[in-house]
Amino acid sequence: MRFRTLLLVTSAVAAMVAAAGFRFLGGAEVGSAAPAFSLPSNTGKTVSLDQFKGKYVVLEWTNQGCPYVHKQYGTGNMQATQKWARDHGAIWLTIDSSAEGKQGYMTADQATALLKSAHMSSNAILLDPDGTVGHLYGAKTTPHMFVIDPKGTVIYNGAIDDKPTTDFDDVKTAKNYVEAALEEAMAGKPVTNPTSRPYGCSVKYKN
Amino acid sequence: MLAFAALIALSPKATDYSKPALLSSSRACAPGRRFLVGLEFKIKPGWHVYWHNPGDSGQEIRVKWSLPAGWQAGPLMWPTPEVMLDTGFVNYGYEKQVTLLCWITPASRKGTIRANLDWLVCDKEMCLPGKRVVSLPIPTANASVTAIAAALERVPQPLRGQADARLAGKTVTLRVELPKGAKATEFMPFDPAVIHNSARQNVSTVGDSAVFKLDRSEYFDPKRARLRGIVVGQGASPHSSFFNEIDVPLERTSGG
Repeated sequence: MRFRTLLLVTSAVAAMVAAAGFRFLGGAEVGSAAPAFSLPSNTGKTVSLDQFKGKYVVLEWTNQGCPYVHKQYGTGNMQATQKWARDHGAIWLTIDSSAEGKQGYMTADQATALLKSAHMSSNAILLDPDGTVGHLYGAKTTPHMFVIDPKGTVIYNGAIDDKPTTDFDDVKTAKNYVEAALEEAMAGKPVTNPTSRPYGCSVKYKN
Repeated sequence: MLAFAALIALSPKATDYSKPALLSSSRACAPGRRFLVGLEFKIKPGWHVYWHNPGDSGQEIRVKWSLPAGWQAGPLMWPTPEVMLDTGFVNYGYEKQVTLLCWITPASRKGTIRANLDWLVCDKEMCLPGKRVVSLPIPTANASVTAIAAALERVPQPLRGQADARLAGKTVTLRVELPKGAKATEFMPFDPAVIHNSARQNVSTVGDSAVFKLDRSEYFDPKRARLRGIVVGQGASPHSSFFNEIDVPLERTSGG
């Protein structure tokens, strides 16, 4: 067996030793009950997931400074998806898990201003600066999308679409997984792509 | 939408934190005689760029070569990345510096190599997208032999021993035969949605093999037929490390 050895303690090995600490496990799995949560919204009201039993609910993790989120909003694609979902009776909750001082952090007032200036159709922006709900769902990226059916079961966990880039032009040819999942589920069909690897910036959680 | 545009315009740029440049292993070139070109990123402390499997978030460095007529570029060779753990999630990438490598086969004695780059650089606070074209005229005044040789040392070599992988239920068991005294510490998957990146990797030694028990990714594609990646560990001699590439069928067994 040939073997590559180096007369160095490499930074890779050192980093791995350091990485032996906390590692995330869990999250909202497709087919399982969506984890219950309550969060303050941009208007100051507390919003709980269980308020929406009987309706489809879309959860969208956002960070307005992230270039992948910028692609979705700069092209109007995310707003169009929000509007389509709302027009079909779904609830859309945009969640901000950026910690204070990190990219994408918003106060309630800033979130309210953003809903208007970005022409969003979300029911609310929920503020999760402690990252509790982000970790509960295993939200890894911005954007990262979840779809919950009227019984409260997770039916989609993954990316907004199949083009993991920051290029505006890619939106035109991308397959929108969230709209497809809603459309199929609402027609009583199984969801063809219930998971996809989410892409984007890491969620800027509190350390 | 204007609000977003304004925010981005005011933001710092990726090149403030990660500077790309092309390096050559040779000052001159001759038709048909291949040489190594390095794509170097110099990265500010606290920031990182990503491996071809970025892990739980991020984006790999994307390179499109633009070469003189008849010149050819081989596949990109990626040095073994670091495992970066941030708030429980895992990324594979590079801090401080990385040099990706590529064999170039020229068809003439002079020409300019161009690389169209698209990458993401992040720290714990933010991520910035980078786009830039870097170029290298050949002949060049300076050859970067040392930097390219150092990068080549960290490019994984194929494993010469036996390896096999099995999926049972949600567990992937990877067995890798290692030389006596060597100790495997981490498996880094080439494909992003195979292994649950942030799940703890359970490694034990059975005879002359390392056995990894890995959680299947929550985004696992049931049609996936192979397990590919790098086995990293410490060699038998002190202060040595190894990076070996594996590409094996992912066999199925029932139960588990």
